[in-house]
This record gives sequence, structure tokens and C-alpha cells, in this order.
Amino acid sequence: MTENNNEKEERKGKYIIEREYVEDERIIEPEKLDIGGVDASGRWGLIVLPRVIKDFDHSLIDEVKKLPRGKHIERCWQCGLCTSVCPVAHKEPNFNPRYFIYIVKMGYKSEIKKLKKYVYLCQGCGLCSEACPKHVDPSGVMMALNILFDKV
Amino acid sequence: MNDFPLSIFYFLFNVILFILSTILLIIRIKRWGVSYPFVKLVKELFKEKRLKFSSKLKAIINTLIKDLLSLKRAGYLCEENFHLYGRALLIYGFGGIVIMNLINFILNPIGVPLGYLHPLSIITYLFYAFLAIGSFMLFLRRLIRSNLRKTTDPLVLLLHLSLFYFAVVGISFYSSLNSGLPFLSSILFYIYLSGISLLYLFLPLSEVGYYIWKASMLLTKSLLIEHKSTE
Amino acid sequence: MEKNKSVLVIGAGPAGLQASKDIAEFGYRVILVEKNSELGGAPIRWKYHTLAPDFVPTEKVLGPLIDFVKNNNLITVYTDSIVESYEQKEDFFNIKILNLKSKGVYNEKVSAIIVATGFEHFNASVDPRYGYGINPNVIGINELEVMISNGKVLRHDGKIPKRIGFIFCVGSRDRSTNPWCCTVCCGVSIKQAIEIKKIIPDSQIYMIYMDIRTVGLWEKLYWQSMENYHINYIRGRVGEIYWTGEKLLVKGEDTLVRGPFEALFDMIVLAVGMEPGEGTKQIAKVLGLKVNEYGFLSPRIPNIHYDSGKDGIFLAGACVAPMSVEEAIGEGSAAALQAIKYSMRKAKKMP
Repeated sequence: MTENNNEKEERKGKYIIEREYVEDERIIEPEKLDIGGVDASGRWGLIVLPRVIKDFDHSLIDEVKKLPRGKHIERCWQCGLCTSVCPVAHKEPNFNPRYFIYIVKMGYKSEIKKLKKYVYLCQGCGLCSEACPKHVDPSGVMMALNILFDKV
Repeated sequence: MNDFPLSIFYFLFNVILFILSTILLIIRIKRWGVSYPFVKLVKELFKEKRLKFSSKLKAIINTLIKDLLSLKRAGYLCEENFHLYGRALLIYGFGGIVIMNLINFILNPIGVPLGYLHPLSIITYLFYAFLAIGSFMLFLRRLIRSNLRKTTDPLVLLLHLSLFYFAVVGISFYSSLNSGLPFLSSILFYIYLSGISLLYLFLPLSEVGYYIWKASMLLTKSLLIEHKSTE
Repeated sequence: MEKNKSVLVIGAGPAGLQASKDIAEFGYRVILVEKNSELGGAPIRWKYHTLAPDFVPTEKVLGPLIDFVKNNNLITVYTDSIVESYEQKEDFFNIKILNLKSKGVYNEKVSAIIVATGFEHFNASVDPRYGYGINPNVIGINELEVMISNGKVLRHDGKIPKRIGFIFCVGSRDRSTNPWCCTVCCGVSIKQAIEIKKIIPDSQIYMIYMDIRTVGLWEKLYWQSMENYHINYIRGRVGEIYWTGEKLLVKGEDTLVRGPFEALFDMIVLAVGMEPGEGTKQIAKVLGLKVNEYGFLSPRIPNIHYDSGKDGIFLAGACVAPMSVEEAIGEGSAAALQAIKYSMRKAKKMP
């Protein structure tokens, strides 16, 4: 990363205490802000958007169900057996098959955007499908999610 | 395979089926609604002027070797040696077969049987054996473990069996050629063609089609990251 | 009328009705005392449409029992009545029955008593966070059952709800209200969600749960609801519900995302639990029965429900612990046999 990028990231919200708990996308710090004649640029105009989930979106799960190996995604009851046997999940905590299926079922697009770059770590070993008590076939669903996350 | 027209037929057969195969893959990727990573890859490689061509190529080859050829993203993390070796044998076997067929066609277009002890023969046999053993290992793994057997998609098992069939038929065909049995080899030639066409038509529609898309996507992404880091 | 061949059954719910039927079929007389005007207990009072897990219509299970009890000569039914007092003699009980409407008092002599006074649904206005009784469109599963029986699930303004939420564990598993688990609410709520999905096919239903306790063979309801009826499950809890003037704003925490959610719903159904009713509390006082720390009748040994610890008095059904209709029917039958054995032993003066 060059220094330009670093400076850009540092300038955003650098006065927030415990800044590392707040994701960059949630910080709005306008360069110039004029509120009724009062100059509120820079630090005074900083807003941190809430991380509250506002709505559910079921269009994503309809797309996953259309792909041939993702058709059983609705069976998942979030037990976590797939993650417990997944060898990738033990090395990379952001790769969590159970969680991916959950955010797609509930349609939390903000979470999907955060985890886009981790979803393609799936090795296709099939241990998750072996462990799943509901026969969701998570390794097949992961293939469908790889395709879906690329589009979101 | 001793006459010239037959080898021309073999060449055209492969070319036509390859084109059909690519069309099937493109239609499948279009139905998914995602971008075509090959197109993007070529565009990034040749049109972006900010980086030198050699460094772009270096980035791609780096990803190719690290992630795909050494299987870091294709099975190394799965911690199961049987699966890893099966995968490795399958990938190297299949890649080797493609390369050896091209080399054999260039060096020996008419198809004179070279005999068992010719180095090209030995290497070709080796790669066919890799493919046969690798695909059989993967198939066996899914057959033996009862829970895995119950939850495996039947198309995946069909894929492994098709690759195994292709490898076995290839070995038989080349062996019949090298043993000098013209009647048997002409029958096995057509069975071999059936194996090839099965693969050409089935692989784009199976898991392999998805993996090809994923591999090209990874290469494109690595190139994009390389670009971003030098901005 | 032989005083040592009649049994008093207090409460005409599933347990009481089954006990009465078994005792009458054996040939003994039954005095059936019911506080309400109708026989059948909670399933009839709250108009349960079907019974979990196989969607059997309630009439199919309780109808034959009620008909038998009404038509049998050996069973004397006192509706709108309670047991006012009892007196234990050497081999029989003197019972005074008070009719709440006519204020008449009736005397009976019986050889054994079965207590099957059942339960009441938790009144959700006690728990202020859901705004039950203040916010429109916040209803309990008992009220929803009435709507489903009528075939129409509608909001307070008559519109069809599109987004419905079920909140589990209201008035249960909570030190502030009731600490116990009501065993059947999960299964009943899921059954109702499936029935709503059949009535309003394009609705989106969300079950906001802490655990899913569909025990035994009721598990199939859970699987069916996810796989066939596309009902959504959010693991989490709801902290507050506000009425925006048009919809309900539900604020809660989604445990699996580890984050808060605030979403607008058209209707919220609270899975209100079972608690010991007024009838149980009154009869415990009259008969001098032990009550455990939760208010339920306490048997002598906790795992043997029919044995109350008092001579000649037997317990059955949801007055002892929360249970399903099928379990209550079984307990009624068990208590009937115990009452008959006790009466026969007393008659032959055997120890």
C-alpha cells in the first residue's frame, strides 16, 4: 500500500476513540459541510452510521435455490457442524460456512459485502456435507455462494 | 491411426468438440449472471499500460503456481492426505495428458506407433496413469465413508467415473497401438473417441466448469490487486 | 348410590374428560365439576383449531370424549361450579359443590378425588416490553388460534398482514415472570406459522427464538416449516416493540450476526406460556395440597404425577406441570385407574 492510501484511511475518523471497532464504511466525515451558515467541516461534521440491520431481503436466497447444488440451502438450521469440521475455518476465522448461509438466507447485504473476499477459500473437500445432519450439502451451497457473492 | 486422413479426422474432431465445449461453458457462465473472467483477464493483461507486461505476467504466474499448481487454494488446506494426493494426481494427470497429446500431435502427426520404450510413450502413459489413479482415489474416498456417500451429489461421482473411464480407455488404446494389433486398435479408437467426447461435453457442465471459472477469477483478482498496490 | 363407588373429578379438560370416561366405563359413578360453562378445558375455551404435530382437528380428539361424558348416565356434570369444601371421613369424602351462577350448594359423597384443574395462558400485559394490550396487532398464540379457527388472520384494521413475527418464550424461562419452560409453545407456534402460511401464502413469517424445543415426534413440524413452508428463523431476542402508527417496529438482537436489528412487522404473535390457573390455586387451598415453588401442584415424588401425597386424592394433567394434550389424556387415564384401585381397596377394607 502506498502512502497516499494510508493517509486517506488514516484521515477518516481518526479522532474516534477505539477507532478499530468501527468499520470504514460506517464513518462519514465530509471535507466541507455548511449547516445554516455555520462551518461544520472536518471533525465537527463526523457521523458514524449505526450498524443496525434494518431489513430482510429474500431475493438472494431465491437466486441460490435456482443454482443446481444450492437447492437445499433452506434446510439449514444453523447448528454449526459444517464450520466445526471445516479445515479452512480453523485457519481463517472469517471463513464460516454456517455464517455465509445465514447472511444469504436473511439477506444481510452489508455483511455479504464485508466477507466477499473470504468466500472463495473453499477447498471443495466435502467434509461439511458429510457432517451436515440436514443434508444441506454445504459444499455445493458454497459453490453457489461463490457465484452469488461475485454479483452482490 | 496409420493413415493421414484418419489423423486429420482426429484433429478436426478435437477442434470441433473444443469449440462446442467452450460454447457450453460460456452459456453456463452467462446463466449465472457473472462477468466473464477470461475476457477481463485478457483486457487487464494487454490494455492496461500502467504496469510493464513482464510484471503483470509475473503476478499471474505467481498466483498460478502458488494457488493452483501447488494446490494451496485447491485442496492443500483440507488436511486429508488421501484427498490431497487424489486431487493432485488428477490435476497433474489431466494437464499432462493435454500437453502430451499436443506434443505427440506436433511431433508425430501421422500417428506412427512409437512402442512402449520411447520416452514420449513413457511420459504419456505416466500421465494417463496419474489420471486413472487420482480419479479412482477420489471416487473410492466418497464410496467408503458412509456419511460422505449418502450426501455426495451423484453428478460428482459421475465426474470421477468419467475421468477414470477416459484414462483407462486411453491406456488401452495406446497399448493396443504399441502392441501392433490393428483390428483391436481400430475398435478401441472409437471407444477412445467416445471417452473424449464424454469429457468434452460433460466437463463444462460439471464441477470442473465451475472450477475453471473460479481459477480464472482468482487470476484476474490477483492482477487487479497487483494494479491497486502500485497505484 | 354407593358412596364407595363414586369418584370426584375436578376439571373437565382433556385429563378430566378421559378420567371420567375410564371410570364410567369401569362402572363407577363420576361427579365432574367444571368451573366454566363448557366442557373441554383450554382446547375448547381457546378454540384450538388443530393439534400438533399431525394437524389433527381438535374435535376429532375431544369431540368423542365430550359426547361420551354428556350422554353417559353414570357421569353427573356440574358446570359453572367449584368445589367449596371437603371433609375426609374414614372411607369416603364429603364434598360441597358451589354453583357460581345460581349460588346453589350441593352435597356429594365420593370415595376418591382426581384433581385435573389445568392451566391458564400467561397474561402478556404483565411483561411490558412487548406492549401487549397497548400496541395493536400484538396478540398471543391463544388469540391467534381463534383467528385460525375462523379461517381469517387479519390486522386490527382488517388488512391482511404480510410480515408476521413470532416471539418465543414470553412469560417463560424468565426470572421476572415465570422461570419454567412450557414445553409445547415451540411446537404450537410452529404449527400456527404453518397454518398461517397456508391461509396467506405470500406472507413472510419470522420465528424469533432462543431455542427450538420441539420434542420427540414433534420435530417434524420444525423440519417441515423450514423446508416446505419457507419460514424464517432468527436466533435472538426482542427487547422493545413500538407502534409507528402503521406498523410495529421490533428492536432486537440477532445472536448469530452478533448485531442489533430493527425491522418493521405487520403483526407480532407472542408465544405465551402456561401457568397455574385460578382453579388450581383455589383447589390447592381447599384440599390442602402441596404447591411447589412454581405454583404447580406438587406430587409426593416429582416423577410420579398421580400421587399427591394425600390419601385418596390423585393429580392429573397440566395442573402438575406444563404438558401437551396427548400427555394430559394419558395422565387422566392413569389417575382414573389409581382412583378405582384406591376405592376398591377401601371398600374391601384391605390395607
